[in-house]
Amino acid sequence: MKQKELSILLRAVVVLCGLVWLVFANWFGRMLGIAIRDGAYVLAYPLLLCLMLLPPLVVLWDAWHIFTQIGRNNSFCVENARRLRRISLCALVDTVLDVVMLVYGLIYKFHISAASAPSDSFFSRLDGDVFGAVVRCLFVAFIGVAVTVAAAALSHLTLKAADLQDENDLTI
Amino acid sequence: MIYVNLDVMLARRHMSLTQLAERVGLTIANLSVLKTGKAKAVRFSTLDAICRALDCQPGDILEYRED
Repeated sequence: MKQKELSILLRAVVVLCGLVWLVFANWFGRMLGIAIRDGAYVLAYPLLLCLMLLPPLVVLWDAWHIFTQIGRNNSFCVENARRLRRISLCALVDTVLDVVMLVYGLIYKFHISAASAPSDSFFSRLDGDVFGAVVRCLFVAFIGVAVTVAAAALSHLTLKAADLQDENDLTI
Repeated sequence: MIYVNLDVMLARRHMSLTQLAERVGLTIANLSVLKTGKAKAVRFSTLDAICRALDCQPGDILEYRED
């Protein structure tokens, strides 16, 4: 596959991921709206979900620019290395938020909800068992850690490759 | 620091950068990079071609000076 074709394909994937992000943003935004209506004590969970939407947006933005540079035959540049580092940090932030959300959800489920939540509260509408929620969150956290590590390694390798390319370009 | 005194030799041989580029087989852009001191490395094959074109020794175009 040629570089330009690869770049177009990758950017198309970014657009698709962006559409998926919009679906989640709409879903989480509505959850936040319901939570605001129900009361402040249930606000943290949907708020965390909405906060978790921001790092993937930054990742999509950086991925778009990385794939654009690939199309321009400028894959190994310092800018791409910085973008990959930013992607790594965003994945780490998302993983941390996911774990915080899991802990908060468990605390709310076992210590607060039984005592103080009204029967038609936000949490009573959330379907699914505790075990399923824990497994989901841990799975998301695992993916987050994998992306963090992979992006950090790629960032380092891209920086080294950029240095080598620069030296090669300036060897007469 | 290594300095490339290409313009000195070009003046002595009454040759332009364009003429040297044609004889050596390099682009003017690459020779400019060498002339302005922005090059990070020079291949022996390039040095050989330049010395042959200018009829000089490597020491005539390369000079070491302390910064």
